[in-house]
Amino acid sequence: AQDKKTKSDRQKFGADPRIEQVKHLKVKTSDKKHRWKMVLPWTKGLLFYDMAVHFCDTVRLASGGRLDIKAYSAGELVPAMEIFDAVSKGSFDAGHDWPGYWKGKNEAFIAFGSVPYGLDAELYNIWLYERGGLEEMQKLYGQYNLFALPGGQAGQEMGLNSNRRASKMEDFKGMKVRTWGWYLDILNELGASGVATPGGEIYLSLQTGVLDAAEFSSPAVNYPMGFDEVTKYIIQPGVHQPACQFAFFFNKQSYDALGDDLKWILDTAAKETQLWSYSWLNNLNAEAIRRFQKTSEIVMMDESAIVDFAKTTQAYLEKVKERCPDCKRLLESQEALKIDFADWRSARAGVTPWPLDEVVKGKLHE
Amino acid sequence: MNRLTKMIDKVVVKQAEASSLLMALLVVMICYEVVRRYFFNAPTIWSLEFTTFLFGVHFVMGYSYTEHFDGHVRVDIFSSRFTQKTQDILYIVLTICVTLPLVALLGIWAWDNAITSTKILERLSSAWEPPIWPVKLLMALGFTFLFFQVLSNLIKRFSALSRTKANR
Amino acid sequence: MSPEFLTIGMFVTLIVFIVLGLPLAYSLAGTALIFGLLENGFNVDGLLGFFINNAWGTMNNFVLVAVPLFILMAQLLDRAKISDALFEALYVVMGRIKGGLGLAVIFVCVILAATTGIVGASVVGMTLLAGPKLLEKGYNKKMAAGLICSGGSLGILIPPSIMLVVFGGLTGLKETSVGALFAAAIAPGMLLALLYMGYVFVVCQVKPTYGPAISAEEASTYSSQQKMWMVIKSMVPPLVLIFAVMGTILGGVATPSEAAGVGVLGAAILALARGNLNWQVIFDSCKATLRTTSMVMILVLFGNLFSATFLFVGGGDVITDLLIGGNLPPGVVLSIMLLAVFVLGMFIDWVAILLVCLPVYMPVSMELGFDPLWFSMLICIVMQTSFLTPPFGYSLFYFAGAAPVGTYRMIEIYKGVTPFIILQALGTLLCILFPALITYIPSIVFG
Ligand code: NA
Ligand code: NA
Repeated sequence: AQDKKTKSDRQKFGADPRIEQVKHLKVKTSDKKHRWKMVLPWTKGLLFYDMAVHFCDTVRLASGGRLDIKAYSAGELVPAMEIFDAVSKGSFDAGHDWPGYWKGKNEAFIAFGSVPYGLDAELYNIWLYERGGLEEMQKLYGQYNLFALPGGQAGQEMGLNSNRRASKMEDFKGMKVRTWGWYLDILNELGASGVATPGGEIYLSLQTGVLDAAEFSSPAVNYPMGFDEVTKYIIQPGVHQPACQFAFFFNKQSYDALGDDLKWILDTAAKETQLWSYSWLNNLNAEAIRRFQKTSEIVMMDESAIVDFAKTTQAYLEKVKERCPDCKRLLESQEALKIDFADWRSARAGVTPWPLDEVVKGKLHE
Repeated sequence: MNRLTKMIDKVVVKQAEASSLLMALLVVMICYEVVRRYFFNAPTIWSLEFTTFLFGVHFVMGYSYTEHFDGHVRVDIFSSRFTQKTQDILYIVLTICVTLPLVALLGIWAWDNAITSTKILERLSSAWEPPIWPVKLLMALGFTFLFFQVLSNLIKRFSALSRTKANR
Repeated sequence: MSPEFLTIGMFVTLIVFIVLGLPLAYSLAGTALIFGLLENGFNVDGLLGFFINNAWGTMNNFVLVAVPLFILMAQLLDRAKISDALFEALYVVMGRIKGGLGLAVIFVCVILAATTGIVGASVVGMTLLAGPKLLEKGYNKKMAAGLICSGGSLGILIPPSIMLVVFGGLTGLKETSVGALFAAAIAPGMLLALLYMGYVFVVCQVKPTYGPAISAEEASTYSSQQKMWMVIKSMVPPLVLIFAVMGTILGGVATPSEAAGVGVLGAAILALARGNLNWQVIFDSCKATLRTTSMVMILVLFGNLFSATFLFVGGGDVITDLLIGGNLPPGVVLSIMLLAVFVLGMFIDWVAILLVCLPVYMPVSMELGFDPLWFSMLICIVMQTSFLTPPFGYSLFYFAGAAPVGTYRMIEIYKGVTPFIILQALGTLLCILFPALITYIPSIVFG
């Protein structure tokens, strides 16, 4: 009997369930035109701004102009951190975010943005689209009168722009580091001094020494900020953020007013943004880090320090799970994915795409 | 009417004088943080946000204080040439048509915003995560004081106008 | 309703309200309310929701904390008679030089500019500190207004500067990083200060009543030893204070906003040392600070509602369409772009100007092959001018709000600042003709 079951499983292993779901679906189209305003937490100089505009353009082109979304940068209509409330209330129709920004409303939002030592870009896609992450995300945003879709993936962030060379655990003791969110608590617990400097004051604070080091974003995003003009080292890797997942969110009433075809277009355009943004940003990251090498010394953290950081992180996340039941469920679901994926990860190891010249000399692993 | 304006004025001035002392507290907080970070290498995670909110509450409670003393900036190139009576009438009309509805709407929606925030016991999205719903309630209170002060100034101007009429 | 109609309507309504005597703050927000509702089909909930989001945003803005701190510092220095003694000493020390005190005031403005990144702080501070003294010494009222407004506005050009920080963040170009902009702004800032000084000096030679020097007999009452003693007694403490504030910034002890707080503590200590600090002085200073701060902050918030609504009704696109013209020579395009910033600066604040213009300007300037740093700094100088240009010059409003009630009429301030606007234009022209004024310092700092 056991054999029979395995056999039947094999015949239909992992068939895409959507094929069945949409078989009898009728999509009604309409000529109605919708003009939307999308508010962003990004200023125009940030690459994430381009990410949101890319999405708006795709939607407009795919819908033949029936859904025309105009993007507004941070501060144009509302301050960056007010976009969530403004869209939830219906002042505007849509927004783009890094979900962790809303941790003051519910700490669980962070799980959809990035977790220290958490999922990478590949696993975020799997978690969101195949393991119920998306449904969880829509449930959470839904509590605030919003409909949400994954909205771009930037991949691993860079570590610290620093004036103190730090590779061992004790090097980080007493170091004044600008960062944000859970990682700030984690740094404090391992003996560094986390400082919540606002974005606009980072440069000057690094220059004058108010800060020893600062974490901001991906290499391509940090590069134009010029932090390397006032720091000597770049401390890698970015353990605090192995991925950076973004989201689009829509006012429920605005979303419900759309025809089915436009809803499909939104969904597809969001997936296209997710795919494109990762390729675009990481191609730029490769170039940015090459340029950083000319101005800064890249310092890799010792493996023992990375492990020690992980220990502190693990203990911290346990505390988070205790105080936030939603976080517990989400973090455990993400951890389960890592566990389930581990066999495949080790089975496929050894073919990291290093340049062939190096592979033939024996460089196989990341 | 006279008693109403007196009461409004008194409440506004008293609450503003109390709020004005927040600035002294703010200075102390900033210096404390500078000393902790620079000399002891131990910055707090709450100083920046705490001082920001002290400042925010400070000036929001001051809106009505500025209105009380009519400390607003005006571009008086033209209006200063009108007769006092014309100026009074313009003031009354513009206050009823523009200022009063404006501050009333701001007040109502500030309460709406504060109540939404209070229902979820909203916190700031930062490492410190202080509750922000009390500050939002204070913001609503600040706009409420502003509304009543505008109302009080309107009543005072109105009775001044009718008094000059009566004298004539 | 078309965006063109709404854009023009907004400016017309605003001007009508102002002409009828409605306070500026209510004129700005009242106009925003009317046109916001016209744009969104009278969705009151939607519009007021986002107005309140903006109100909350202002309450969360750490950068502006320096405003009340500088005002409080000025209040303490004033009540302890420290600023009075300082400017009295400067007046005596400048001796028989006509306009001498005016020159000294500009010098103090430059130093103050190096300690603050915003205009509100330095204009209000200087109005409280130097304003009364200039009038007491018989300076022409308009000249005094122009001096303080323009000197105080240097605060946003000379680093540190919030405008340069925002600018750097908006362009996303390595060439115009905050550091590069800071370095590039030093020489133009100094150039403008020198132009102001030159103007004050020349005018006072021609018309001595504009800025009288100390009279011969009064001057003769001070021996050179007395002068020396005056300098030490009255100039050293406040200058130590100012340099201490600068030192905490440059030495990495504090951020510019925090340094202002340290400065207040320093002012309190100075007052205490003079025996002029007691509970009543503190309470009175705090009350006065609240009045002025709230005047500034209600303008910041309601001005912000106006700018946001202006972009909400599509005003940004209207301006952009006007700007993109045919195939004109680079020099002409540059002039049009700078002129547009100047004209916009008469009506809206620099944040709104940046948000409207920068996305259009940067690509155009790249196409024309302008040096991005040079081009950016020209824009910044013109935006600094916007603080001075009537009808909406925020420096003028801060000055009017902080000066003692009844001393100034708006028209006197407008007239007083006019020569300085011409000097701004001259400074901009010099930077266009001699790009090294902008690019030399960055080139030695960053190689
Ligand atoms: Na400055
Ligand atoms: Na102006």
